[in-house]
Amino acid sequence: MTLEIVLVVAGALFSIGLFGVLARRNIIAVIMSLELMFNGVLVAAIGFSRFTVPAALVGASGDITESAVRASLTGHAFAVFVISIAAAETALALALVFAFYRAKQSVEITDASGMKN
Amino acid sequence: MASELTIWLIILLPAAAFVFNGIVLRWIPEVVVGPYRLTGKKSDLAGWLTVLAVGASFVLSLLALIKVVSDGAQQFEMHSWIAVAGVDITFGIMLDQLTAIMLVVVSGVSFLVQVYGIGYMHGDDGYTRYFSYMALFTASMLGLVTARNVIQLFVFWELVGISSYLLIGFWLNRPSAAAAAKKAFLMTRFGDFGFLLAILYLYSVDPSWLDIEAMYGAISGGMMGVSVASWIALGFLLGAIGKSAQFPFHSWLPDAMEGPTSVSALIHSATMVTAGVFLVARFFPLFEHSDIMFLVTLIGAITAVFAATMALVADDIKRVLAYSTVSQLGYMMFALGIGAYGAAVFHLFTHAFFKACLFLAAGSVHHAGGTFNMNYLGGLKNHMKVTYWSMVIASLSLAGIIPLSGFWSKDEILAHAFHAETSIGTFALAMGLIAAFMTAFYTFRAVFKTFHGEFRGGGDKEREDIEAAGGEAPEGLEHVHLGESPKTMIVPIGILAFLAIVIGFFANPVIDLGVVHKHAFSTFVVERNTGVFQDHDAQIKAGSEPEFDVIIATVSTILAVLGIYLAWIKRVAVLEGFIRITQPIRTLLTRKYYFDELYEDLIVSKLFYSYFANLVDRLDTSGLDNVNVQLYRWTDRAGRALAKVQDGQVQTYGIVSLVGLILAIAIFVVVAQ
Amino acid sequence: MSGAFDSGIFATIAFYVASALTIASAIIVVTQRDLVRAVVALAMSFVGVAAIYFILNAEFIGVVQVLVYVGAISILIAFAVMFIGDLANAGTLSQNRLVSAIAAVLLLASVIFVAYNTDWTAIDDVTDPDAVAGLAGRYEVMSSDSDDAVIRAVDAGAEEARGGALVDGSSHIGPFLIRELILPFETLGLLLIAALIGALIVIRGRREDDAA
Repeated sequence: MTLEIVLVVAGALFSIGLFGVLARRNIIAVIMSLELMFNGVLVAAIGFSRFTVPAALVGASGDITESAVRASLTGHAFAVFVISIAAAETALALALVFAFYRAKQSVEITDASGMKN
Repeated sequence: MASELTIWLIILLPAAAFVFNGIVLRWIPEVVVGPYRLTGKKSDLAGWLTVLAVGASFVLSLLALIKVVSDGAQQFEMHSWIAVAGVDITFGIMLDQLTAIMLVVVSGVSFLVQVYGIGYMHGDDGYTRYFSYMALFTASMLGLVTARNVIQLFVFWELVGISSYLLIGFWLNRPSAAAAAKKAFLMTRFGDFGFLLAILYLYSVDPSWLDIEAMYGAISGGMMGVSVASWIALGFLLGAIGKSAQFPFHSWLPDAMEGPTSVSALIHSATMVTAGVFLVARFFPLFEHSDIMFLVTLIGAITAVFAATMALVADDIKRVLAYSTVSQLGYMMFALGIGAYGAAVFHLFTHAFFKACLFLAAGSVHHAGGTFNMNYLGGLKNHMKVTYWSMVIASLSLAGIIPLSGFWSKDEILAHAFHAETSIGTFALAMGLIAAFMTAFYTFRAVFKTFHGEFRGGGDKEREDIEAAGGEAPEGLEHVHLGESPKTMIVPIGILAFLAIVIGFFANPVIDLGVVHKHAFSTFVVERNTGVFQDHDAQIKAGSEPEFDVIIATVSTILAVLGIYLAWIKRVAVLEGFIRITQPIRTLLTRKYYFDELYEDLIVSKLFYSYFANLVDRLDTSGLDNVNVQLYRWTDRAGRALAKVQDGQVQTYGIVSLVGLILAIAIFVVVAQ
Repeated sequence: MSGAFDSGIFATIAFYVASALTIASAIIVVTQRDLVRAVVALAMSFVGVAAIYFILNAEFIGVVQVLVYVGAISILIAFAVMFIGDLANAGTLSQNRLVSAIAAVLLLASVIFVAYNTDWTAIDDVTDPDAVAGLAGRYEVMSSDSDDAVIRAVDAGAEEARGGALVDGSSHIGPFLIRELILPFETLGLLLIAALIGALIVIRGRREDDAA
């Protein structure tokens, strides 16, 4: 098990999610695909955390501190934050979908064309 | 007395009159003092100023002539005109014998015509304009004959053309006049094109040869090659043919009779049309050095007869005179062509006087009879004696009856042709004799038809007839008032008639007259013109020792008398059979050999407009314009295609960003490699 | 190596299985027309991702993933689907699909290319014994102050750090968040409040008794 294969899996997940975001017509389907993308990113982050060492510890000399050691958990911390924010974002997105449905009576993303020139 | 300033004044005084009349007087509102209008569009003051200016020019020209007679050709400095980056064009005054004579002729005839004009144009709405244009023309012609640099000459040449255009189309409300003016200008323009090409070629060979004196020097010094001279001379000849209405550029002159008669008298008899002859004379050494003299002779001889044939059947007096002018110019051309420089210039000199007289008399006839159409005239000799006798005298001179001036000059030309000993000279002689016969005939046909017999109604009757036939009467028809014309018109006619009698004999007598030496004119123009003629043989050929050939004199006189007699007979007893037989010939002549049809219908309309202009138009639309159109379509399509990106769809924007990102990654990766 | 899940072969196989599950579920999510099936597949993929987290020794994150994603987000989306997901044309793919597919494939290709061509930091470069021991979890605190603590290896013959990263992530993530990342942590709380209020406002919409 190497870092590269983890990154491939993460990339695959991300790409599949990307495809879904760009190609699905239902807004909710787009939101679901968005979640997949988040997951892909997090897998990559965890992978980096697992297989790499903080720069401060590479070729270090002198005192080693706990914080330097803990820095290898950066990926984990990142995951915690992302998951939280993703949850909040999903809630808000779905609220917006409801509002959109109220306004346009439709859940198609093609109807959200307010930015047309 | 003949300082350079004097010569410049000769040109500038009429020019000043033009400026003042045209710009100041014409546009100032009317100021009337007594019976005379001082300003505005019918200003009498304009007329007086022009007369005064031209008169002053005439006096100064006489002084210049005297100086040249006594002291020979005058040399003046050249002034720098354009001096930039390797181009150095000078200008200046040339006052040799030819110029001196031309100055006197131009200013003299112009002066008489201006005086005539005061009476003739009285009451016309464009009076001020007329006199301003007349002044312009006179100034231009005077500038032309004194030009020292070829380009300077060309400038005045064009000015003369413009003045002619303005004067032919003088009556603004006549479309026929406008058409005639345009035709004249365009046709002469065509010749001018050849002239200009020759100038450019000359410049490219040696820029210093633009100075005419320098050119003379180069030719006599053998520095100019024969083929170079031939090409340049050819171009100059084209210009001369255009301006002097020689075949095949003759068809503008009859139409130019649309202008006022005094204009015809000045421009189309004595001065502008002689500019072509003057050009050949001025560049005589060049023409002699080239190979194309035979062409000059050929064209001149053909024109002499060609125009005369058309005069035989013309009904309009002015047309007869116009064709006659063309024919006489042909004489002058072929005289130059066979090398008879002196004879040609002498004929130019005498012709100016009697032709101007004839035209002015025609104007007088119109004043009384209301029309120029001889079919409606007749019997005028009892009503206008001075006009009648002046016209008879001038016609006799034109026909070449001894001892009038026309005889001496025409005879000299024929004598030279007789002695030329070349085939082209013999051809010219034959043509000249035929034309002499015809000239006598048609001139007196005109005289008899206009002045003898019964008066056939004049302008009033003609108008009646035209309107009865359902047509519209042309503008030129006036009412009849039978009687002699006012003094301002009669006096110039009389003076010119007098000159037509005496000037020939007294300027170039065949015997020594004490004050005037034998062959004074010819010797003056040829022998003493050492600028142009530098060796004795050339001088003789050019006519410095003209022989009075009894044979030729007799033959030409007989022909002339025969012609007059036939004209008399035709008047009295109509030769029915003769007329019937010659009817097809008559048609050919009346339709002017269909030349107008050839030029206008065939060449211009069909060839040029339909074919060539169409072709260019299609090239332009499908070629050049098309580039524009295609460019527009392309940008439109590109724009539309790009606009599709902005469709307001989130996913589209997402794709676009993604593509950009991928590209960025790719570039980054490639660069990092 | 420490930890039962860390034995080479077992972990590798498990990883492949979990990845396959995740990716297959993801594909179902993006291609299924029926949104209900898509939601279920989404949940499945979340579970698969959680499994991957466990295999990668991120146990805490794995649990959080299950709790939040599978337990809350999937349910939320399921509710949304139940309300308004069932309309016509709900799940079809738009006309962009070809371009999107190509773009996604290209992106994946570039990710793979970059992943395999980059020299990731060598984990063998950690030479300091204290650092190694620290990563392996076998250390003692020498001195500490309010911010930080200096550590020393407990015994010199400590086992190598597993693969390089900290062995017991779960027990150290807490102090990490509270000490080094306290500011983002509290802000996150603030953000959650804001999201809550925002969602309520958006849902509420405009009412007649609202001031303009």
